[in-house]
Amino acid sequence: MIHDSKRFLPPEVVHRISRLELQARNVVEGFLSGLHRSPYFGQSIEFAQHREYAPGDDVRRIDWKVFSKTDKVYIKQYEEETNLRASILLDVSESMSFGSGQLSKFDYGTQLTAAMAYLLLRQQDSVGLTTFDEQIQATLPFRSKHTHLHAILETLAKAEPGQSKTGIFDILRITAEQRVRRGLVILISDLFTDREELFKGLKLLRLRGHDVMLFHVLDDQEVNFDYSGTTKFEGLEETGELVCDPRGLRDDYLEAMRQYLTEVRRFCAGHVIDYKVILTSEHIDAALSHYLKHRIGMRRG
Amino acid sequence: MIWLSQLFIHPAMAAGGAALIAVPIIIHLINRLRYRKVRFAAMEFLLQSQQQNRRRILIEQLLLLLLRILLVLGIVALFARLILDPSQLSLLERPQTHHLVVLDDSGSMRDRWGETSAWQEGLKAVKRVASEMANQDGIHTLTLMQTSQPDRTTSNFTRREIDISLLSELEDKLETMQRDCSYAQTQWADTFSAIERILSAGNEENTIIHVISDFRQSEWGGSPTLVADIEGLAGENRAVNLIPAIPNRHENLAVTSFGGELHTAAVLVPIELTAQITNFGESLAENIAVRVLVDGEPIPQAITIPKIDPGETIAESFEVTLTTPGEHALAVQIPADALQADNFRYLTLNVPQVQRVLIADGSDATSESQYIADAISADPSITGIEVIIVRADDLRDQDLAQFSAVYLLNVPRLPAEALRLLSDYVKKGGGIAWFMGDKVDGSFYRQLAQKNQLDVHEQVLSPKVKEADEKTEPKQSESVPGDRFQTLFPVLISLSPTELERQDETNPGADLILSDHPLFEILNAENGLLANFINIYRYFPLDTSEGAAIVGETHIIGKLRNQAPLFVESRLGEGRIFVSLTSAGPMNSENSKRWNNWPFDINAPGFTVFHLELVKYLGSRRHLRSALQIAEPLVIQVNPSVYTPEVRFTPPEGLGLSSVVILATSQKNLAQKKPAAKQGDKEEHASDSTLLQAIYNATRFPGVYRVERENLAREAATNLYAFNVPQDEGQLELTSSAELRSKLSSIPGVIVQDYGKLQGIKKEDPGRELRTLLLLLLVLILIAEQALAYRLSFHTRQSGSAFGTRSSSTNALQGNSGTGGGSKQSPSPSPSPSPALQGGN
Repeated sequence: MIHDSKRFLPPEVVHRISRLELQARNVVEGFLSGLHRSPYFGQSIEFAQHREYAPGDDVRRIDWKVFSKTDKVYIKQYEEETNLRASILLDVSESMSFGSGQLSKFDYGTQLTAAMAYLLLRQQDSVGLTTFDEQIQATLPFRSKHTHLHAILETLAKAEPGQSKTGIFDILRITAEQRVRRGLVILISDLFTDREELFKGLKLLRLRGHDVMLFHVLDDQEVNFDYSGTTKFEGLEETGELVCDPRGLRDDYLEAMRQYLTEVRRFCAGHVIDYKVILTSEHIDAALSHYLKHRIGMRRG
Repeated sequence: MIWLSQLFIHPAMAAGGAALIAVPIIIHLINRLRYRKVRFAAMEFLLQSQQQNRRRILIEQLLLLLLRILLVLGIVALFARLILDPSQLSLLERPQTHHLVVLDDSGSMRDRWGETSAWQEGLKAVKRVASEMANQDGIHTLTLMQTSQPDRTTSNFTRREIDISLLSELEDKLETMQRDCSYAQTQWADTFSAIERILSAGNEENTIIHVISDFRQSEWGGSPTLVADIEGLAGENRAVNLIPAIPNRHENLAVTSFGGELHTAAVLVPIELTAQITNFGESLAENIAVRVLVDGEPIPQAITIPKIDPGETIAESFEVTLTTPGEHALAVQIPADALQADNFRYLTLNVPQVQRVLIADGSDATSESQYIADAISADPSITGIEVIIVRADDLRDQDLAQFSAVYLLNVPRLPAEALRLLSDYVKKGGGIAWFMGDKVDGSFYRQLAQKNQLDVHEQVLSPKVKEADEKTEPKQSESVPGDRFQTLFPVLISLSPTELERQDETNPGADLILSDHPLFEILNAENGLLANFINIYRYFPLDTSEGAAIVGETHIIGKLRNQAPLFVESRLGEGRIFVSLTSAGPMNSENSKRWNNWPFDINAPGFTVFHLELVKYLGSRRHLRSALQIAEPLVIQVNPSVYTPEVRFTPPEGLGLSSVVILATSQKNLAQKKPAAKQGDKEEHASDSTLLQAIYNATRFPGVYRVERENLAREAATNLYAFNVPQDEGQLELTSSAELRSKLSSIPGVIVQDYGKLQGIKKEDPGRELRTLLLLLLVLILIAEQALAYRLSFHTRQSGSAFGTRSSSTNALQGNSGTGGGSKQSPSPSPSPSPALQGGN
C-alpha cells in the first residue's frame, strides 16, 4: 500500500501538496469553514444561540447555567458544520492510455485524483471517487476521514485504462442522480468523446446544482502534434488508423483541436463550469493551485 | 546513344545519370513503406485534417518528388554538358562558335632555334587553341587547314566538335604532322579565298579564324593589301586571331639563285655556273664556304665568300667540267643555319658529247662557212662544238632540233619550207645568225622583214608549196596567218649592199661602234682595242625610206662609224636571232672587194672568240630544263610512237619516298584537269595533240627528281629535274605583334597574340552549352524544392499552432476557466510551452 501511495502521490508531489496545504490551511481556517457553512442547525461543537425550552426538546441540550442564573429554561443551539462533498470522476477509457512523455494521461489523471483527494481530505471534506469508461468501473462513497485516502488510492491502484470508449453522458447522468445533495463534481478526462453527450451531461450536473470542475487532461503531442516522417497512427477507442506524413496535416489538425477546445471552453464559460486544460507535462500542483484559486475566487466573488 | 550525343558532350554520362532519377522515386516509396506506428488518441482531429488535406498533400508530395527528379536531371545535364540547337532555343544567343585554324606550313616555318621550330610551335598553338576552346562554355567546332593546301581542309578535321575525343585525336594528328611542314611559299591571297569558301559552307553564327604563322615582313608587314585582306575576313560575328609561331627573327643565309651557260654545255668543256647567296639576316656573314656538288660529289675547288653584308646578295661564279655526257645533277650548298631548306639549290642538265652547229652557206663552194668552222670547231674536244656545213638549198632537209645554233651565211633566199623549219626552231628556243653576202637577194629579205605590212607567206610561197603547206597543216595556217615569219629577219634592208666610205685607206680609224652586249665583251676589252682593227668594207644598209626599218623586239647592238646599224639582235618565241649586215667571211666579191677583214687579218683578232660567244649566245635552250619550284606539278610529255606510256617518277633520295609509276594519258583529259600545268619536258617531232602527258604532283620536297621512261624497244631513258624552294622564302624578317596591332587596329574583331600566349578570345566566345542556364535552373529548382520541403516538413512555427507560445499558452491555460476567474490568476508554473493552446484564446 505504501508503494501504491508513492505511485499516486510521489514524494515531490506530496511535498508540493504540503506547501499547498499551508495555503489551504489558511483558506480553511479563514474561509473554507464559512464557505461550506450549512443552513441547517445540528449538533456541533460551535454554539449558535439559546432558545426557550419547548416540550419535546432534548433535555440534554438545556443550558443549566442559564437556568441557574435566570431561572428560565433555555436550550443551546449549535450551528451544524457540513463538509464539502466532492465527487471525483476519473476517465479511465482507452484514450487516456496515450502518453508521449513520462506520464500517460491515465497516469496523470490518477495522480491528479490522488492529489485532489488528499487535499480535500486534509480540509475535512468528503470525497467520493468514480472511475469510468463506457460505464462506471469503480466507485467510492463520500468520506471525510483521513483514512479514506487509502481507499481512494487502493481504488486507483486497481484501475487501469480500459479497452472501451468513453460513455460520458451516462456517467454524468448517474452521478447527478446519485448525488442528491449539491456538491462539487470534479471531472478528470481527455474529453475525447461525443461532445453533445458531454455537454448534455455537464448541463445536467449544473441543473442539479452541482459545482463542476473540469480538468481537461491532454498530452503534449496532442496539442503540439510535432510528429515527423511517415507515421501510422492507430486510433485508440476504435477510431481507425491512418498512414500519413503528419507534417502536412499538422496545421489543420491543430486548427481542429483548437476549435474543439474553444467550443468546450465556451460551453463551460456559458454554464459556469470551471474548465482547466492541463497537459501531462505540467506539474500536478498547477492543477491544485488552479483549484484553490478557483475556490478562493468563488468565495470572494 | 546517337541522339544523346547530339544533346550532350558526354552522352555516356547522361545515359548513366538518367538512371539516377529513380533515386528520389525509390526514396519516396521507401519512405511510404517504412513508417513508425503511433497509438494516438486524438484521431478525430487527425482524420478531419487528413480529410481536408488529402488532395493537397498528394499534389504537394508529387510536386516535391517532381522537383527532386528535376534536380537530379539538372545535375546530370550539368555534368554531361547539355547542349541545344540554338534554332530550338531562342533564349540562347550566338551559341556555337566555329574555329577555323589556318596553319602556315610554308618553308619559312621550318625556321629552327634551340630544340624547336616555328612549325612545332605552330602545332603547339593549334593544340593550345583546341584545349582552350574545350574548356570554355558553348559548343565549339574546329576546322584545320594548311596554307600549302588551301583547297582542302586537313583530313578528318572539318567542323569537328571540340571535345575530349577530338583533343585526343588532334594530339595524335599533330604528332604525325611533325614532318608535314612544306617547303612551298604561302599564297595568302589563295588562302584567304579558301577561308571564305570554307566559312561560306557553314552556317555558324560565330567564327574565329585563328591564323598561325611566322607573319614575315615580306608577306604581312610589307603587304599593301594586308588591311583589306584581313578586313575581308573579319566582320560581324567573325573574329581573326593572329597567333605568331616564332618569337624573333633569326639569321639566315640562302642560295637564292643557281645557274649558268648551260646551253653550251658539252663534255669536258668548262661550264660557268653562278650561285647567288643572299644574307637575309641582320648581321654581317663572313667566310661562307660554298660547296658545289656534281651528281652528289663535291668538286675539289674550294669556294669561300669572304663576307656578305645584311641584305646583300653575292653572286659567286665558278666553273664545272663534266666528263660524261648525259643527265647530271648539280647542287650548291652553304653552311647550316636557322632555315635549312634554302641552304641548297639544285639544277639539272643533259650534257651532250658536243654542241652541234649547222652552217647553211649560200656562197660558192661554201667558202664562207670555212672561216666559221675553223673558228668554232678547230678542235671539237676543246670547244665542244661540232660543225655541220650544208648548202642553203639543203637546209630544208635538216633536223634542226639537234643543233644548238644555225648560221645562215650569204643565203640568197630560202624556200618556204625551210623558213617554216627555221621559224619553229627559233620559236622553241633555237638560235640563228644571219650573215649577209654578195649572194643575198635583198628583195627576199625585205619581204621577210615586211611581214607586218604584207602577208609575206602569201607572196613568198609558190602556189605549189602553198598548196602543200595548207594540206599538211591547215589549222596552223589559219590560226596564225602571216605570223610565222614575223621576225625571222627583223630589219628592212636595202636591195643591195653598199660600201663604207673611208677617207684614209691607211688609217681608216675604228669602223665599229659596239654596245656592251656580252657578245662583244672581248672586242670591248681594253677600251675596244681589238675592235679598232676590224674593218668593214661592205654592208647592207637599212632602208628607212618607208619608215621604221626595224621590226618588233629588235635591238641594234653594233653600228658602223657612219651610224649605220651593223649588228642586230632579236627574239622570236623562246629563241634568239642575230643579224650581221656584213658578211661572215671576207667575201671576195665579184670585183674582188672584200666585205671585211675580220676573219683572217692578223691585225683583227677576236674573230674566234666572237663566234664562240655567238654560239653560246644563240645556243639552243630548247633542251634546257629550268629548275622548278617545289609543289609545281612535273609534267612529262610522252610521244607514244617512241615511248611506252609508263613513266616512273623517283623522288629525291634520303626522304624515304618510293618511286611512282604514272601512266601517261591524253592531253585533252589532262588539260581539263590541269589547265595551268607546266610542262617539264617536251617531245619533238610530234604534234601536241598526239602527245601523252604524265603529271606528277608530289613535288613537295626540294631536290632532284628522276624520271624514267622506256622506248618501244624497252631501252630506258632517264631525265633529271631539279626542284628548289622559292627564292624569298628565306627572308625571315618578321612583322612584330605590335606592328600588326598597329596596322590592323582599325579593324574590329582582330586579335593579335604575343608569341606563346593565347588571350582575349575567352569572353568573346559565347557557346551553346547550357551550363550557365542549367546552373540558374538548378538554383531555382533547389530553392523551390527547399521551399516546398520546408512547407511540408515539421518546424516550430509561432503562428501556425493551435495553442501558441509559452506566454500565450499561459493565458490560454488560465483563460480556460469557465467561471471567468482568469483575470485574477497568476502566471502558470507550466514547465513547457503549450503552443497548441494559443489559438484557444
